[in-house]
Amino acid sequence: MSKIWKWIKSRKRTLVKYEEAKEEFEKIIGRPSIRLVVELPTSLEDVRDEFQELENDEEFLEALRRFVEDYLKERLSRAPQRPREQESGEAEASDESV
Amino acid sequence: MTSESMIFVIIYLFTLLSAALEMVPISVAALLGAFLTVWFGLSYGVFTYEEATGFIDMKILGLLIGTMIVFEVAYRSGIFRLMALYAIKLSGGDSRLLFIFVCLTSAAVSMFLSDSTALLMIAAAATTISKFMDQDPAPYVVSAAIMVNLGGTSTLIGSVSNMIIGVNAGLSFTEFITYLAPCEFALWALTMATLYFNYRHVLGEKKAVPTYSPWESVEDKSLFNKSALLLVLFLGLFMIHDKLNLSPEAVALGCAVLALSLSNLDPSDIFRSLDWETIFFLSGFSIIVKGLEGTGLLAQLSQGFLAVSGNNPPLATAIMLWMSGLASSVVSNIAVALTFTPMIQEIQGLNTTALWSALVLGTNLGGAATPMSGVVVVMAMNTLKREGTTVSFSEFTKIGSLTTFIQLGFSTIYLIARFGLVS
Repeated sequence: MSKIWKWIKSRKRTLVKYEEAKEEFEKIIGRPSIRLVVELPTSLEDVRDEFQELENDEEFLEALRRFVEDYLKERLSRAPQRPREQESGEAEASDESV
Repeated sequence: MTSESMIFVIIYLFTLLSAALEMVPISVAALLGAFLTVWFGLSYGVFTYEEATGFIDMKILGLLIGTMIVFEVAYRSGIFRLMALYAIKLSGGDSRLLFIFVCLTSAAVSMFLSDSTALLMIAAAATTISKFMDQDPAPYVVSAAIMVNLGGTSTLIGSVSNMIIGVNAGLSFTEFITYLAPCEFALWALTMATLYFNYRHVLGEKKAVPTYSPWESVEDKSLFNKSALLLVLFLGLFMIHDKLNLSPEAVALGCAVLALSLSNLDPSDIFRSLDWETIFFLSGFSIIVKGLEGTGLLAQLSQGFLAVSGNNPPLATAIMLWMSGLASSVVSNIAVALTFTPMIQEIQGLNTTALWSALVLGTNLGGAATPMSGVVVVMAMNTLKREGTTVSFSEFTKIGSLTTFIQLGFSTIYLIARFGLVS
């Protein structure tokens, strides 16, 4: 019975609705995420396969996470006032001037 | 059994087997079976071509497609997501409360949405919040699958098998509720208690949930308001459709046209989202069952059923409930409803309302006994696998079969008491 179950589980199933719904819930109650498209650099045309494998390379993904963290921290340290607050303050000021 | 009957039985069994084991997609299995049924039926003169063209019940298809369109528009408006977000917020990070709210929301949402859509949405909510609270999502998702299977048992539009039975038995929306709603709500409580008892030790500690307003999730307020009003109208019309001399399919299709006109959503996009797999399975399997009916085999089975039950109303009702329940735990409940419906139509001299109600309960309750009982459970297991958690076959069967037996046991007592079958 468990063999049949394994086989049934292995069948392809559309979980698109699940992914879509999860994205919506994560926007509100979970950790937000972003999706980026990175093109193969023109200087690395001969390593096409290696480049495409990066998508599943845990070491690369970990390095990317660290890079995002360091980049954001450094950027925020350069601008002591939170950009959003600043922007909304500017917007309010321009509203008043109108 | 004649050789013609034997061929139809083989087609019927082969379709059931290939659909249950997913050797091919269930729609393809049913359409292939339908093709063979028509081919052999015409070759052996079991029915004529004109008779074959009427094998698909357009009333059921109209009711199904109309309901799917109305609920797809409502789903896109974010009504059901809002319900799930409120359930999480109301729990306040208490995992026990969260568990109860996930169960309740699963059952409530599946009264409207198809089981698979309801499960995928609740599973998405449950995995997101459990990840945030550092908890195992498995108890929530497994319980959601069991509650989604249970939800909607007492309404004409709650499941495809209910639509098949309701249209064939001539049961109105209100009759459905009058006969079955008390049983369904009692089953909610019983099943939740069983699930809670089973998972109480693995539910984690209380943890703060993020502060948010569920209304943030509603992107198009105008669509939301229109959908809410439309749902009220839809349910209101169903409550009085028999008094207005409107058929259920007329209400469903009328509201579907209204939903498409008012929502400003792209109709082709809505049509693409409909569950065509179910629509084609229903159509194909209807033809297979009609072929079987044409040989007189189902009438013989009906006589056999009467002989076994000895014209004893409580026994006949209990047999119908358990037989359809156990059959639905192995094969599609749509197939079970289509097969048993002509059998009950042949029966005279027994309380057929009790038998119809038993068939409704049986076909609905059998869908979550084992991981192979229904697509909703398989989908739950797949979402958990996607999240890096696995639930074994025996682990699910333990809780799934326990809740199914409790549900069928309680329903037996309910039906006997509700219809006064013991004089």
